[in-house]
Amino acid sequence: MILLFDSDTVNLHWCKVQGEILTEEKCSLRSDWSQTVAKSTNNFEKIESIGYFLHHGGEIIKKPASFLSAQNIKELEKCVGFLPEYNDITAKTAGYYIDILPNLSHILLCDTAFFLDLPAEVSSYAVPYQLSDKGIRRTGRFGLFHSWASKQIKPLIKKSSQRIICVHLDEHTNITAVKDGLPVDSSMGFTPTEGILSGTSCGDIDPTIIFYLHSMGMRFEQINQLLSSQSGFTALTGEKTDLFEVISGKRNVKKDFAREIYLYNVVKYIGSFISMLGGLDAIVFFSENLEQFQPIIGDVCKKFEFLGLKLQGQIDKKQQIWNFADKTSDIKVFGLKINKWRILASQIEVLRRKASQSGK
Amino acid sequence: MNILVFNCGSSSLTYKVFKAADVRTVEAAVSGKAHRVGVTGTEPSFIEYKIGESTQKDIIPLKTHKDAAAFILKSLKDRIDIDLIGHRFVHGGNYFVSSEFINDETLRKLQLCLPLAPIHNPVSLSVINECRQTLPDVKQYVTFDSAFHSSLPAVAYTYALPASVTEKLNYRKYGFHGLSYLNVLLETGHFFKTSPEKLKIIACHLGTGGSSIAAIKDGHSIDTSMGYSPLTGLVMSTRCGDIDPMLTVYLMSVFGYRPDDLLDLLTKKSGLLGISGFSSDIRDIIKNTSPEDKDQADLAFDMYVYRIRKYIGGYAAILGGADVLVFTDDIGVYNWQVREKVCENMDWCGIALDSVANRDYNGKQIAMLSKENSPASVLCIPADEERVICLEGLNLSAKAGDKTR
Repeated sequence: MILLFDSDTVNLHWCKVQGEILTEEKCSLRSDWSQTVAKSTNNFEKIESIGYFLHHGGEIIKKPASFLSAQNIKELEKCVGFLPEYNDITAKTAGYYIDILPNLSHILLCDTAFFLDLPAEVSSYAVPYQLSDKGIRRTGRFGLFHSWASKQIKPLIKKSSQRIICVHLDEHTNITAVKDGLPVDSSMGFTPTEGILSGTSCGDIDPTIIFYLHSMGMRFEQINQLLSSQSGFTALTGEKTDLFEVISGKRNVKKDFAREIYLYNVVKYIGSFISMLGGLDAIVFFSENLEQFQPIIGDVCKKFEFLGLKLQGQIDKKQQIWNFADKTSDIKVFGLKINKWRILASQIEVLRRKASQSGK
Repeated sequence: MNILVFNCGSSSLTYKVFKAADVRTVEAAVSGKAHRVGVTGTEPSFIEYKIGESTQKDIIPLKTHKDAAAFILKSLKDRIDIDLIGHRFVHGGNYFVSSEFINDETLRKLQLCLPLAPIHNPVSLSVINECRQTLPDVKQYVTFDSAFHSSLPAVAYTYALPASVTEKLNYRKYGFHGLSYLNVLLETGHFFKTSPEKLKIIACHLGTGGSSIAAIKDGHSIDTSMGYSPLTGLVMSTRCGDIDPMLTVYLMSVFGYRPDDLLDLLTKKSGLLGISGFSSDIRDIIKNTSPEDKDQADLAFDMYVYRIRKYIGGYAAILGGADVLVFTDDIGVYNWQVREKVCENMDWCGIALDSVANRDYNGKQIAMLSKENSPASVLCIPADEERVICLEGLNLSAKAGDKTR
């Protein structure tokens, strides 16, 4: 059985994965989580591997999945500062369980490592190079998922060189360009704020506003809050609104406008990434709620009819991978229903298989 | 009629007097430029005058743009009659959506625009005031770099921030280089002998200072890379272009940058200069032969090109394909390396550059640089901002049914 850990800023989440069965639980970061986890796992009975999800590995954690032990836990601890509100608990849980369960295999799953392979002209910002040397770069997010999604559809594109755009339809939509398995671009930047707007975050804006806001007396913490928690769809509609309400909720003029802006930005990013790839073989949309996104996927695809993308009338939803495009379409379009824990578990299985093959 | 056009640079003042009968017969009779205005240093400031083939150069101290304008007006007085004076204003905000004749109401609105472009706008206004004092009977008009983009749809200009913030600051995407894009639109239509409203155009204005891109459809700008300010979009000589907005907060709160210093860094020390570490000029970066600068020089060039390509792709998508890709202004016109790299692997959206024509192009006049069978045409259009300002004056006069014509 695999035990997986992730966290948000308030709760520690974990999931036990045994074959097809997932058992998800959470508890407050402020409570005695070690007790609760021990109880929920029957004192780690049957647990073989523990996976720790790391939101930001900087330039230190270079592999999406790697074994952790008392010898290399220091590396993980060095990452805490990149994103303390998430990474701190990752380092704490990993340190704790390596200590008390040294015989299990401990695996670090790093969400940003995939993007360390971005070309330098994409990962760099046009700021003095001394800043780039201090870790100021396009970090990207959801690397494990984009890399996974691009691998799923690989066998379906019968071409030796593959140019794929992966669209993660989530509360905070993010898009990457992948060529032959390697990242070429990512909509999220140094932070997840850059890129597509979300329920409460602004997406791409002219940063000079930040200087105006500061000169008007706002503190950095307030500016941070404004851009990440009070903007996006919520700002456009004037009431608390998430992506799901924008794409499929009850309509009104403001929600229609929010949907239009969302669609516009997704299309613009896809277009710019086609340019980076020098053409496009497939788009893959993946989501935990794929069904709900079906209409917007259709609307996005229609904007690329000028490149020979053709949608088909009926989608066979019984298939694992939904096929949106017509047989004659020049660009293939796929949909994947995902489950975060299952993807993380699959990474662990792959790593363990590789390790046992190499006799480790 | 004779139209005098003033165009303020940050330390220069260009002027041209056009003899204009109608929009296709416009000729500069006198032209010149005041150099090193307000610059202190070892070299003196001076004003050039070009009449026909002859050039004259006067070395005079020029503390302000107003001083320069006064000298220019004085020297023109005995040489040529002026019927109309046109000016360029960088940022007209929400106050101006097109060129306008200057009267008390316009002057009041221009005052309101000063904080929008604190370096450029006040300087332009001082030149306007000098002209009103010296030639009170000559009609004047003002054109705007931002006006061409007043047609942007709300999906393109809206920033997803709370209304309390955007409304207070009139914070939205404005866009710049509008006069240049207007020139592109007119020249492209003329070149293809068609109405430009029929063409979907992606125009790259690549200047030695600022650069931007615009998507043009039905004769209107529908999106552009610069935003509320000219800081965003492409990698420029010293401006950073697009950047994660949170990064600026991070640099101040974690790295301890003071806001003024950071804005200065992003505006004056970033872009090509920041990446390369040795030059803000793409030509130096391309020519660089020093091995120790090679990596940074290559990166600077790649980033410059990458950002342009990214925008072309995004704009091709929102336009549903482009008919014409245009390069204009100094870097766009005089730099074949940039054009070559930008157009590489662009056949996905129908762009096929003729690499021989591209290298041989001399930048003298408008030319097509794409292969004959390229679905989308690639055009190079030399920029002539003053000429566009002059044409705007002709249009305004025609609309007003001006009798002086």
